[in-house]
Amino acid sequence: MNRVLVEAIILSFIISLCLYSHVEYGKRHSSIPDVDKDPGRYENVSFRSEGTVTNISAGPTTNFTFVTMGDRIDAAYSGAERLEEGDYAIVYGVLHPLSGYLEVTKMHVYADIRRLYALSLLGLGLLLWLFLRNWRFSFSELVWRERDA
Amino acid sequence: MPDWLTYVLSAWVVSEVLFISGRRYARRYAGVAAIGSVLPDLVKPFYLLKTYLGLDLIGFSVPLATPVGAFLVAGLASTLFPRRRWTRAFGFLSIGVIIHLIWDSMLHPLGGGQLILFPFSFKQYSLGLIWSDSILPLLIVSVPFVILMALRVTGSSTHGGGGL
Repeated sequence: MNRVLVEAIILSFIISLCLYSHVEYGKRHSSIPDVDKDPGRYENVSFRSEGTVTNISAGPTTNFTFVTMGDRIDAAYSGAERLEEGDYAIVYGVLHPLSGYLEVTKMHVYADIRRLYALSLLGLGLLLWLFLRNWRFSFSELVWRERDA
Repeated sequence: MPDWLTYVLSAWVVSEVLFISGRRYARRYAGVAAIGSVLPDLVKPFYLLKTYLGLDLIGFSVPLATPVGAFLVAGLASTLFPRRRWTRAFGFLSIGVIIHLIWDSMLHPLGGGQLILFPFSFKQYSLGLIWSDSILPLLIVSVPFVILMALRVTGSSTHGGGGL
């Protein structure tokens, strides 16, 4: 079958799935701006996200600002996990937007997010080396060809 | 998700095992499998778009990290190889995708979970064995990696060649 036709068919499937997900995923998952727009609708709704912990103030409960993908929400946590400024964490909790905060019930603080990034960079380097030592791009045909072909 | 080094080393290990089991072309395709092993992470640039430009296309990108979406992307990527290599390229890209999905399915459910049944269901599944920042997957894959490298180096000292 013609290459362009195959690519067009596969791409149309991918885009269809993405458009379907764009509509349906949005009905099931909400972002912080969604919560801010309609606080009453999200009262006592569960929330899960990953992001950075900042503006920590310790007390009977630990209060902090949780920053996820550029959005911010005030959070309160009364569990045993000790937090430090700049920690990267996964949080799970219950939204109380009418009172203006997220009640965090479960939390996992990453041991060292920089280690994950460093190992991933190393992996990227290894990937490029493994691939490019055996394959070269042919600009005339727009395909990857074996180097010894 | 575990780090990319875990995915890429896993892809190399599987390719090397295929080579040892008689598929002589498998070493040349180790890099192709490695690319497949990070394909489901095509969702990550969409996170960056949201973080730095405020453009929220997270919902749009979700299928790229699901089995059906990742295999479709692998199919699309295999057309970037010569026509007579499509099947083989797709096979190795798929090996990488499967490796990625297996590692991710082991993550703790607090970190999300896999949309295994997408597009039929948005329910997320996970085995909850490891956290995404755990070094354990890398340690696990390091064992066969070291063994296979040792075999390869031993073989190269008698037959020539060697390295990754």
